[in-house]
Amino acid sequence: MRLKSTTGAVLAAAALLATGACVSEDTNEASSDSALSGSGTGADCTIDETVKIGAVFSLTEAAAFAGTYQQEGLALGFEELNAAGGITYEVIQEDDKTSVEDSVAAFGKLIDRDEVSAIVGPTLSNMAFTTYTDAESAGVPALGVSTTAEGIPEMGDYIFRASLPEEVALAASIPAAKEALGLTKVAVLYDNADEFTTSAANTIKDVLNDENIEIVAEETFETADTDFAAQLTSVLEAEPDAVILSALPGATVPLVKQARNLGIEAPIVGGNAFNSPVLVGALEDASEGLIVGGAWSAASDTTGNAEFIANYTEKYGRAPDQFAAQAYTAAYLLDQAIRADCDANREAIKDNLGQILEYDSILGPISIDEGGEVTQEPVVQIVHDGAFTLL
Amino acid sequence: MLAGYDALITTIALGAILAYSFHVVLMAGQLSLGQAGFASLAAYVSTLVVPTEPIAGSISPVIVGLPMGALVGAAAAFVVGLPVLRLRGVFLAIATIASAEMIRVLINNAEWTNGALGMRLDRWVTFDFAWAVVAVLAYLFWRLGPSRSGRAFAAVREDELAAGSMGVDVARTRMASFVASGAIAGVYGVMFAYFFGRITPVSFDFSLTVSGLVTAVLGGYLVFFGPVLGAVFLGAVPEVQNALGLEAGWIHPLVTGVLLLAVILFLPGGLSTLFARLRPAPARPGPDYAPLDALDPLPDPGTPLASVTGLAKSYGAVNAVRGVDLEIRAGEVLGVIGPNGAGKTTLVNMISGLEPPTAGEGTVLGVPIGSRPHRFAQAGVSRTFQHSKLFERLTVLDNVLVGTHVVSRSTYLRRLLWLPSARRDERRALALAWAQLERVGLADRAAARPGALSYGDRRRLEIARALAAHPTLLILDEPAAGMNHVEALELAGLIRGLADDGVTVLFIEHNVKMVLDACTRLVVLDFGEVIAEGEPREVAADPRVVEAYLGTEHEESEHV
Repeated sequence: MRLKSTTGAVLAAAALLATGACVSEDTNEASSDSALSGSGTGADCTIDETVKIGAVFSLTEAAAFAGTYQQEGLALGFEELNAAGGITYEVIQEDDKTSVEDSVAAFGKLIDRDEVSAIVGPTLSNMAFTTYTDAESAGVPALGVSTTAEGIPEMGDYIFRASLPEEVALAASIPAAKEALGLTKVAVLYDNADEFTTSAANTIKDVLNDENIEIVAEETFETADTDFAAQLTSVLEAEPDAVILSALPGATVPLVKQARNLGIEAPIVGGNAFNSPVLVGALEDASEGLIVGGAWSAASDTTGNAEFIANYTEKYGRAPDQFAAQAYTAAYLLDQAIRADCDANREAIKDNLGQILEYDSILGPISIDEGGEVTQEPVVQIVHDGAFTLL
Repeated sequence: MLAGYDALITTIALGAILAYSFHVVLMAGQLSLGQAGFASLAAYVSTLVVPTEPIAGSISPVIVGLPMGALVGAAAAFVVGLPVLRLRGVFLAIATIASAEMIRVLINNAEWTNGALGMRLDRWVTFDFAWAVVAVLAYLFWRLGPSRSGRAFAAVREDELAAGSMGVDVARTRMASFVASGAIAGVYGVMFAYFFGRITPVSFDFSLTVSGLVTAVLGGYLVFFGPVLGAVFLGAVPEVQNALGLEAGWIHPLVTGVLLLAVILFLPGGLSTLFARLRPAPARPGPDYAPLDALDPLPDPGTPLASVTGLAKSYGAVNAVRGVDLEIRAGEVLGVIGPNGAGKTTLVNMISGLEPPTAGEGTVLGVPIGSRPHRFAQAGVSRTFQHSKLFERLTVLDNVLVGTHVVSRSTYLRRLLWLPSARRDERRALALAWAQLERVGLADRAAARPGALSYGDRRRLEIARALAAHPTLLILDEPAAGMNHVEALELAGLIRGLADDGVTVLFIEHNVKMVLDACTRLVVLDFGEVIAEGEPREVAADPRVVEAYLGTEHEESEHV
């Protein structure tokens, strides 16, 4: 019987070879719709046709903690822009259910069926690595707002991001912590089953090396772990000046709590994933002294920040986080790119998005270069009495 | 027209491929959930061999990856299968899930896989390519269904013990389904890698297992196109919701979940239940078939068939059978009687391979005592059970067709190629099965399920199934239990008719009148020992037998 089944498999392979499925040539045709280009320039620009912007976020499942904030932030941004007049935006929101399959399908829908001018998202870099190849080959500008992994902007000419790369956030928070706390030896703890946290851990080690800080303990765990006693015990024994943590929110809360219970008093330093009021709330007292590098702070006095926080809190009944702030900024960045030539066609957005220089946003002055990479000043914060304050 | 849908259509195809890897194990009744591990191993290994440029200008390079993936998946399944296939049911599920987890941890910590950071690949899989693979799989399963191998899968799923007694090598069939599942999972892994262009160890986590299993069960594993139905359903439901204007978010998974629940509750065979009526009713094969042609002639009367000495079986301190010597010659109708608990069933279980003896030796049709059941069946021993073991989800005719397993040749490969000889062999098996149904008088119920039959008919069906194996030695374990006098009388006539056709019969029975009518020789067991043996009427008159079997109170009215 076994023989038969395996021979069957061989036959299947042979049949496939016979069909010789061919690779189709991707054509990168730039279609242009004159109704999408208007008159006037900059603030006076008027476009008659509604400009459709696609958004793909993880609204359900694992990454919903970020996706829901992003959806709200982006919606708020475009709502304000619509009120300002001249250009009418329509956001077509898709949920990728934190799965690559749905992310790819959502991009397909937005690109070919809805024929959007640009796409904001997806939430996770992991999906962006797949979906951005589709956006690139279709010639649709894609603007990431939380895709912080290395190599994303390099995926193509149409790929941009307004999300501070993790290595930049860490490169700021570690020296700041070193200066404030006088670090000489640290412990590094990271989730080695997740791509984002592993990549960040590699950056952390490089930065520590550059700063001449000794790593006295290096421990790993897996995304779904809930007990960290073994790792934390060896951290405790190494007596570090600080613990650098690279973890997703799910593991961060129990880990930090267990560390404090075990008697680890050293400050804990983290990157982008820490920058959330929800996380601080869940940690309760254990959040005291957390040092967080990120792209945005509620405590910053950047242009429009206080207004953004007030409007957001009023509209959604909760305080915004970094994900909301970055998505909100993305709406303004796209608006800038469209108004530059008063043209909402894909090509024009692509050309102008890479030209944004020192735009004054709630994240501070922000620039996007032609390669698609973002430049902004990272902020380093410390948690005091349950609130983020600038370090 | 397909613009904007091709990603969706391709993911549906991938879902169907994954579901097929579950389909094949469910077909054989195995709850094996290690597919995610095999898929991930195959995906990673394939990245080592798939070229970066199209072959010969336009052929997708994945064509190289597919056989590689199938091979890696199959090999991994074989290695995992050797230890874990001793387990069944939920224990098998747990062991296979553990194997997938081990593979994930291995890949996560290996250097060449780039660990959790994963790999980026070129996206070579297009939707037509993916559907070509689905078409090939559907074809393979379409041809498998009504073949000898397909029936073996179904028999193992329905009842392993009965399948083994009908000559199906249960261990090999389970391994075959397991390895085939590994191969298909491997193909899925490669397709996944080159469609999404990105693999990380987390891509192949437990949720993949769940979605594959749900798709396979939802579609239904009793028909070959079940996985495609399941995948299309799961892929289309969110789209239909969008078209109906339902907001995305938590409502979508909720509606999908409710529909899923409805299907599982009201369509127990999955969505394929809706298509069950499309099956043609079995028809009597044409008159040009002489079903017993080309069957091996039965041995001449008087030839020794079986000889065992000192056969014993004890369960702990209980000695069910103690030192039984038995000889069976061709042409006999040998009755074994004895009070309840005398060890009759244990004795026939040992000589048909269902239970190994604790002591004693001998051979039955040349097969040493203690071999596995299918060896006895292949040698020409066929049996029924005290409590009938029918394949409940197969039709009456298909039950009997499983019986032809040992006297027919494998047809699957020849069916794939549409060779006329396969068709001939299948029609011969059908004619043989139909002849047995007519022999026991069940031909008009061929399309029914065993559950719809009366108790007496179920016993007759079991005899027909045993006869379809063209047995040299037929073992009947209490065939008349639950039959009324008229039915028992007919059965006695049938048994004598079998003897006239040259079939040697060994049967256990409580109905003394029937035993006296049908048997040429009688063996009486009491407390696991032979207390009398010989010509039926003499034995029945033996005072020891009367005492042991009938007790001091004459309860003959119940038995005669």
